[in-house]
Amino acid sequence: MKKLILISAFIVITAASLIMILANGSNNKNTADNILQEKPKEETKSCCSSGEGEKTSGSFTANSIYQINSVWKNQFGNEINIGDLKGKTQVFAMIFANCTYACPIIANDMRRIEESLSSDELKQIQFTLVSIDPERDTPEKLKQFAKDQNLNFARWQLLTGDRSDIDDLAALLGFRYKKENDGSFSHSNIITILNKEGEIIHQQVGLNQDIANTLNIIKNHNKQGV
Amino acid sequence: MKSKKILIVCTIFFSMWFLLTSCEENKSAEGLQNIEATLTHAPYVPPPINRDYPAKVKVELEVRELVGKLSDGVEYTFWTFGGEVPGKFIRIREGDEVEFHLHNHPSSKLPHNIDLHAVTGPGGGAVSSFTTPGHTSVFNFKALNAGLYVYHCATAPVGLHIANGMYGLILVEPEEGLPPVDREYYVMQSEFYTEGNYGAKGFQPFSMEKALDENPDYVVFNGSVGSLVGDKALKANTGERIRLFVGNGGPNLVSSFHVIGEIFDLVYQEGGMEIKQKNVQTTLVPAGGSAMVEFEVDVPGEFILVDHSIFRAFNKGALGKLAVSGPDNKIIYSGKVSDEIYSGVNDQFGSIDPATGKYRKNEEKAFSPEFANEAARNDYSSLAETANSSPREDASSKGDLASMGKSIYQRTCFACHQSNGEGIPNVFPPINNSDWIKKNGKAGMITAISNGLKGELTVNGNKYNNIMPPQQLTDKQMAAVLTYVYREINNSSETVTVDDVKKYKTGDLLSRK
Amino acid sequence: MKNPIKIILLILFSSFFIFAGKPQTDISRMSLIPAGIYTPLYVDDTTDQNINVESFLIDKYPVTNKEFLKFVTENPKWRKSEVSKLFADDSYLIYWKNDTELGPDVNPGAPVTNISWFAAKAFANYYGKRLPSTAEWELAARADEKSANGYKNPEYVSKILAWYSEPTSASLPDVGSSNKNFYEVYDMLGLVWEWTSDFFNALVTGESRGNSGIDRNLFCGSGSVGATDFTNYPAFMRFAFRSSLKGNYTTSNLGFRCAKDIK
Repeated sequence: MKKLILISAFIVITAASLIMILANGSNNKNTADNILQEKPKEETKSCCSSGEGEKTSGSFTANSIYQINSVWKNQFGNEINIGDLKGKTQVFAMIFANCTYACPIIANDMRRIEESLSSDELKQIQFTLVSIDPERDTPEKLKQFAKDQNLNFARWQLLTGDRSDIDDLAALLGFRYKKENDGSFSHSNIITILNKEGEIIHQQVGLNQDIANTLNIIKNHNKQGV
Repeated sequence: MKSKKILIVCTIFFSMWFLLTSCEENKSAEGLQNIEATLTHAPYVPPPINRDYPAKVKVELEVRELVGKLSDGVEYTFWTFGGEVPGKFIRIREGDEVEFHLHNHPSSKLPHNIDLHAVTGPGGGAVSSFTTPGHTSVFNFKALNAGLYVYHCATAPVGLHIANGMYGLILVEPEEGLPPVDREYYVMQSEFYTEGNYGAKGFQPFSMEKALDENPDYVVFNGSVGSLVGDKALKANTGERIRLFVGNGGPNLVSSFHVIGEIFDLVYQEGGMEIKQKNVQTTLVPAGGSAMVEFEVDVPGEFILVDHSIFRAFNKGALGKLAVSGPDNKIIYSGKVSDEIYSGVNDQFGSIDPATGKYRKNEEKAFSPEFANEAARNDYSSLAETANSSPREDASSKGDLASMGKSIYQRTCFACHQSNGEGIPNVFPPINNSDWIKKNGKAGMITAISNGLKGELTVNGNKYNNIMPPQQLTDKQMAAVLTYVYREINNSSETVTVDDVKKYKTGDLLSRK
Repeated sequence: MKNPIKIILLILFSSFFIFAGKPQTDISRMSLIPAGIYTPLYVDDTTDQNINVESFLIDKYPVTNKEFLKFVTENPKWRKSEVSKLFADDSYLIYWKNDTELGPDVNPGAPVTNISWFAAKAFANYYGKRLPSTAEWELAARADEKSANGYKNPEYVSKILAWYSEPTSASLPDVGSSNKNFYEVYDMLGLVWEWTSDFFNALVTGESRGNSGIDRNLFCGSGSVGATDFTNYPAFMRFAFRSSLKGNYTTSNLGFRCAKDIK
């Protein structure tokens, strides 16, 4: 009975939304043009690895974390706009290179995910680590960290940026961290899966977790994306 | 503006679609019927569960912070699960899968959560249900164990949240259900700590000092003084069987729950299902615990519910009533049948003290050994023997030290260094055949245990970088555990004595190399 | 179907975090808080975790409805109909009549509430300020009327506790109507909760297995393990409150004030 009601509501709403969309089609175009004009200099970032520059446009979905529009440096010292991450499924975590315990394990957990995916699947996936320790984590330092952890730069990138941007990202991901007086950080251990639009579709919390569920979610998303 | 409408419509569209598909999934995946739980305010209890199969039960509970009546003319700010103290009664069945929605009303000053003692999982749901004002948290759990359980808010400072009224009961019925009774009621005891003393009028803030002293001004049933008297007394008819679900929210006191003039035919002790004690006068209900009591009411009248720590009942409010109506039963209880003169002559217990003119107890007779029977004497002598021998942890022989060491090892060291001292690769170093121990010896180990160890170290060629916290052990315990480590884990004949421990334990943090 | 949505999103987000012509900061309504040491509620006893706080400026009053209205008027992307749900949840400015009007029932001089951390941060940036860190905020709030450290005064502590124990009142009074402290900062404790820049350093998460010092269990009895002061209930409550938040959360008793470096 309940289901019937739901279904009928569903149909009514579908119809209503279709009608509204048709009715407003032209209007929206105008608005879009206005906005595009208003938009500030939208420099096309010379992105290094992805080769998908055309996808790095300024438009993001309502739940895309790429709306924060911040600029970072990768392990090669190249500038990366957070929006450049769009277009690939992201396996994403926040770490600091001087971390002796949790962060190598997080990197290792992400590598376990990497190793469990086929090369075909991996084509659509990028592994991104963002530093929470910009004072010490220079691009060189991050590059060294990556080498120590055997991370493959074809798929991995390590980013460092401004404290304020790090905080924005942390707040969006629900990542909690605190600087300790010895220079280290206490922090959440979270691996976030972002879909190609930059929306959070899954978070794996903790260290050395079973990755089966995370893998399923990545694979399913990949399939949808094709 | 229009664009926004579309956005809203689309959002609804998608959420409906999602809802629909996810519902379908729920059903097909688990095959469970979806049910919305009926929750009741005290003293009422939701109806018995008549299902003989588990279901997916949705429970919705709203946290409200509200000013209310603690006693006549006394106001208090209650933090509540469902608008009243105690929180709403939740009734589910063993094997049910519960989808718990905890709403924190926007007017709340504080975040809250819920720790259900019926939940098997970290914090009883406390972590997953931590909810800021104006938000809702959802978490799922499966009711694995039948019984009557307390739930409460567990947000820090937890004592304050409980003291302000955040507790209630959740009943997980066993698969076969509870035996039918005529009436069921929900009674929960708790204390309140107010700035003003009992009865002081007006708004009373929480007194942290009294709470820390565990010295409440109010000990009450169902959230306020007088919540179960007069019109609000529990009702029953003669010949009926009553079941009371009794909880104790605390935060501090243990209740000696008693119904004056009744004997509990059956008590499910501490709210568990296994031990059903018969013919109980007073049952203990621990803070954060419960009991189910059953009895038949045979005669009419008022039966008083009390905490038999009786000053609480008389002076602090821990008093309720069960009003039973119906015909008298003179055989079970006659009422007063006569009232005659009693002169009190031939007094064998006391006599008038000429100095004070008051009755004084007669001198006690001296203790005569013949009163004590054989068995009692035997008990005493065996007791005396035990007292003269050394307690176990005082054992000084090396073998005993090692056995005492074993239990300390299992308590203190085992989690990291593992049962045979093999450690965990790359995380915690081994302590069997460890070159570090060979090199640093007793002094090294004693210093490590008493002061902790931090930073990189190399053991048998492998690097470790972790923290070993200082261990709180007495000198003797340390000597024992180290002797155990030497003898049992390293097959050595080495012994560590208390003197060794005294000598080395003040050493500084070990060198990190 | 997809196109209109994209366009709407474009409208909403195309100009985030872009500030045209920042207004001048007015520091006459700020107080100087001298350098000091803040001991966090929870410390790891293996290291010294006292935090040295440099001297800084802090607003004397929480930001008001009127002030925030001016901000959203000048920054349309932070209007309630425009803001992304990622940056402010559904109850963002929920009590305002509409995007640019408070409506007759809202007191313009009362602290603005139902604002997110992202919104508060954007406001502060726009005026050349920033949010105070938790350490800074706590240092400023520690002062009672007569001294820099009111936590030694049991009356002050019980006064705070009493305020925390009250449900949020339906309407808030003007800023400046509750306590004025030693530094001439008003309403730190007694009017609304306030955002701090690093609220997320209250480390309580859903996880219990991590081993980075983050698995601090705030709940139940373990909430007192490692605490520097078991009796500082107000500190526990603020810690719990911050722990329960996310960056886009808004609640009816949570506002903010700004801080600024001394240069």
